[in-house]
Amino acid sequence: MLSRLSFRHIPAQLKAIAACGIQTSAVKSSSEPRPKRPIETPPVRLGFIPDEWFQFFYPKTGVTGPYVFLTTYGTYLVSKEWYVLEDEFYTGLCLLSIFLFASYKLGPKLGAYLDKEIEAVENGLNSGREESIAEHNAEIQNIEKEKWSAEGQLMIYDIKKQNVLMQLEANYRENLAIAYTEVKKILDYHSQIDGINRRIAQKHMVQWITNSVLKAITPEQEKANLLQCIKDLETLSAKA
Amino acid sequence: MKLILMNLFEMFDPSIYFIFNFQFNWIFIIMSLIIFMNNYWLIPSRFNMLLNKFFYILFKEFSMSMNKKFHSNLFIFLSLMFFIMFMNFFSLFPYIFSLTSHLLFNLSMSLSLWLSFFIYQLYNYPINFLKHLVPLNSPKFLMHFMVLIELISLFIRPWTLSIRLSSNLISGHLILVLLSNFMMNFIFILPFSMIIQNILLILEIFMSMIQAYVFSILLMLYFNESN
Repeated sequence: MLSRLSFRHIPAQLKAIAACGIQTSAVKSSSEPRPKRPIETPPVRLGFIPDEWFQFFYPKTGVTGPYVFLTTYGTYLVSKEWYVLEDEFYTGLCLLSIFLFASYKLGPKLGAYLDKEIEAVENGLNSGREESIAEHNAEIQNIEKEKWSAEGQLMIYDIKKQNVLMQLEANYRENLAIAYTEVKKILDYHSQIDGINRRIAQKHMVQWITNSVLKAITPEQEKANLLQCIKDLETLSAKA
Repeated sequence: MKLILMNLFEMFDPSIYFIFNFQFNWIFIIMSLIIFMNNYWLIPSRFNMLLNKFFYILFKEFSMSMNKKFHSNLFIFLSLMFFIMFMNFFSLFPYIFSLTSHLLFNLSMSLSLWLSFFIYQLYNYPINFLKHLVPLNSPKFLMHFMVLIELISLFIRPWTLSIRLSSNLISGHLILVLLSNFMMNFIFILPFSMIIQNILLILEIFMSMIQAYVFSILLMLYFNESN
């Protein structure tokens, strides 16, 4: 009954959050900063009292506040015999003095030594990571170099392509020249043959004509011709 | 908070250590947490590093006198030593009852462990056990006595262990309380008596470590003998 009554006073927003279940509250809690382990030891005063406690007093009471509080509260406890100063108190006082002495005298040395050891552990843990980082960096550089050289390869491909094209061009031109010369040769041959044919034909024609002319010459004509020649010679000689 | 002793030996009575119905010895439970929680971080804190160093030194020290075959059992003795050491050390603090000054506590540790080693030896290596009852080259007429003496020395072991520890603790605490009584009564020479008390306290701090070490290393030697 009482629990139900108490539930009635809870505001509606909270009820809604409760009805939504853990998820919403989990989101709310996860938005808070994660607790961290303090790496450096917090500052202390008087050897063992945390400085935070003094900071707590400072805005209300100033610097002397906590000391005044300690002494007055202590004297109150002792005077009203809430705390009796029996033998355990004195043993505790001595123990406290030993610990204070140790923390002031040996504390820094021990702390430095332990810090050195911790650093060694940390370095040992980090060295593997750093080694692998360096390894990966080297690998990345290697890949970059490979990429660069691949670009060079592209250039080489281009040059090779140009080269091949040039070779093809040269080959084509050579072939063209060969074809030209060959065709010229053939054409020369044909023209020569034609020339020879024409010459032969001419020769034959001349021979045929002279032959046929010679054949057509009759002995009378020859005789007459000869006579004519002699006559001519005679006239010529007469003239001369 | 009243802890006025009517009798000097009253400080070994646990019932007077109830202050506001609370016994400060319960803070030992938190100690385990303080040691244990630090191991959740990869990089040790200063305190954890100190403990690690301490454990490492002790481990080396213990492993020297232990058969290599049984190195995995070292942790029992190491943890026993740490346990006793913490008990001894924190009993020096005010309003904390010194548990290890009682035979009830010490004997329950030493007797249980020693008895287990003893039964183990008796069960597994009975001939070996019987052989060791008569030392080598002992005269014939003394043999019977030797067996008796050896048996006594065997059975007295857990008692000597626990009594050594408790007597050391009792004597130390008695002297401390005597001196603090003196301080309480002669408060005008407090600085002088504090120096003496401090020297005694430093002695007691080291004794708390040494006695724990002795206890566990002797138990370990008994363990070695039983195998």
